[in-house]
Amino acid sequence: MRNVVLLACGEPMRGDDALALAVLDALPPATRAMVEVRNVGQLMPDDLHGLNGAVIILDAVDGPPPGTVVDLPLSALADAHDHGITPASSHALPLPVTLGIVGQLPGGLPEGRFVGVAGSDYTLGAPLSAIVRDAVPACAARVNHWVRALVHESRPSHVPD
Amino acid sequence: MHESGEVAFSVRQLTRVEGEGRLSLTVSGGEVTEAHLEIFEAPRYFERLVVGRTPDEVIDIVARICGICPVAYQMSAVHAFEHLFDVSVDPGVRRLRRLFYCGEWIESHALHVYLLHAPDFLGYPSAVELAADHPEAVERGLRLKRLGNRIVAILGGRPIHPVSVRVGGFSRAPRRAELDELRQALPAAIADAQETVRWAASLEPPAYERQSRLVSLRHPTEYPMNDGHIVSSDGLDIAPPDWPDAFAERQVPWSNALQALAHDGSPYLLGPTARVALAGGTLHPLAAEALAATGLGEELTANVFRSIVARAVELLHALAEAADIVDAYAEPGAHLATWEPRPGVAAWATEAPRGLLFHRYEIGDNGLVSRAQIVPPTSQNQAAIEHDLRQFAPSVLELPHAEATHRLEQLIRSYDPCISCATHFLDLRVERA
Repeated sequence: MRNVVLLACGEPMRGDDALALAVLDALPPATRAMVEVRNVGQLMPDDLHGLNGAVIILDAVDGPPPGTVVDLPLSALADAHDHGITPASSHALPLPVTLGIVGQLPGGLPEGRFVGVAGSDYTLGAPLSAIVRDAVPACAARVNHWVRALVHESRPSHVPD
Repeated sequence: MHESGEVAFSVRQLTRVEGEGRLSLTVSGGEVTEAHLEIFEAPRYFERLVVGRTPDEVIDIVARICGICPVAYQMSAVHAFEHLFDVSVDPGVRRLRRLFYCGEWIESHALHVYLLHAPDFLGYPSAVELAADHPEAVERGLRLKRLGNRIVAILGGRPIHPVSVRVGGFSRAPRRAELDELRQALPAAIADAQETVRWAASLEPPAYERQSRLVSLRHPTEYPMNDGHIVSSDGLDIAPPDWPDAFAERQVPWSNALQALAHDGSPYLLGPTARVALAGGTLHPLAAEALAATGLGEELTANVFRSIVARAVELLHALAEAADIVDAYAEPGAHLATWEPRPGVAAWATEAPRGLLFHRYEIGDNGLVSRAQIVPPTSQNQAAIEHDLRQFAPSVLELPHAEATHRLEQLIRSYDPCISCATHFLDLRVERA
């Protein structure tokens, strides 16, 4: 089994930015046991550089209609902005820049996925919005799928990049 | 250009700063008549969120203000409460708090030096291009940042928004063996930081000189972090709770962050440059030696772009002091002192990576916070940033817009502003029928 690290991004006090923690809670315990979960808040290059194994980044996004589940290979995330998708957490370095830096360094970008849900409300102190809360099970299903696929180093044919 | 001859210059979204801000300049007759650092990130209400909370709850809440400098918020708050409640902490706790602060300075300074500021000096649009051409430098920065985060995680339970600080000490003190990984990693990190000082000093800054009023803490024997007096380059010398005697916040219409000024209306500069200038005599010998070797001691205070060197020197100081603390570490006799709340005003200031961070809390008879004031360093540096922009902008406005934007952003980044920290809740009016 390959090491898989799940990097949970976001500020749980800010409405839909708490998506990552909600999705983690919705994962089957057996899946949780397969991965190393790191609650990183703001993703930084040192979270990714030199990481041993595959990675799943979990975060809220802006751009698509609220509630939309976004599932991209990491390598596509740098261009996601061109498709109207922006990770929503307030990273000191924008997520595509973070990935770009790591991609330039020896060892490059680890294999992995970005999975998230388009948010609608990031008010401080607010709970998840209803539309994002309703999307949590579907997002958790995608994460569950990718954990199992990446752990076993095989990619099911029915899941397109 | 307006009919009046005024020219408006705007940078709509500042990049490589923490948070969301914008710059607007108004130019008339070649002079910058207005320079506004517009902080439009939404107000965050923390000064209201802590009302009705216990001191220990406040310490956990204010850590959420910033993902880069949560330790600073915890330290200013805990010292304020302990000062009011007359709590004496174990000397071992005091040393652990300095180690905790060292961790935060390391991760924050490494981030800013390598990933936010250095690309400006080398002509790169971002750290992505810097990493492509100088991977060894970026890897050095990431190693340092990772170690800083690790120190915070070991003492605080996690690297972001730590949870261990309590009035009277820590909820738990690490065992000596838990610091072994730091003891092994710090010598190589010190070497990395020495190289960082040399590298930062080799970066050629734009020509720009001015004299600023510098303000920082100063302590007789320690480089300023948690203790000391607030001093300035023009003779101010007051205890940390007395910050309001010298400074005050004001609201400006173009920013969600309050601005702080001296009572005479003058701006002032906080942060690594001010600390090195005002308290350089207490730098760790390794840091003092590295600073002297640059030959830039005088230029640091004259040219704000040289703040990258001051930040690198502090990075080295923090690592060297961390190594000293870890080497001599013994578990504190009492990691958590007992205390009783009392009504009154709890106020203190400590040195966040970006500069002096002042907290003031009014505690009621019930032991809960009834009013709070949090004055982050970026709020205090804003007026100095705008002052420098007015002075510096005329020298770049004839350049192509993209180049002028780059130079002005570089100036702003010299202050390492944390916009997310600085946004405030200003005034909420609710009209009810």
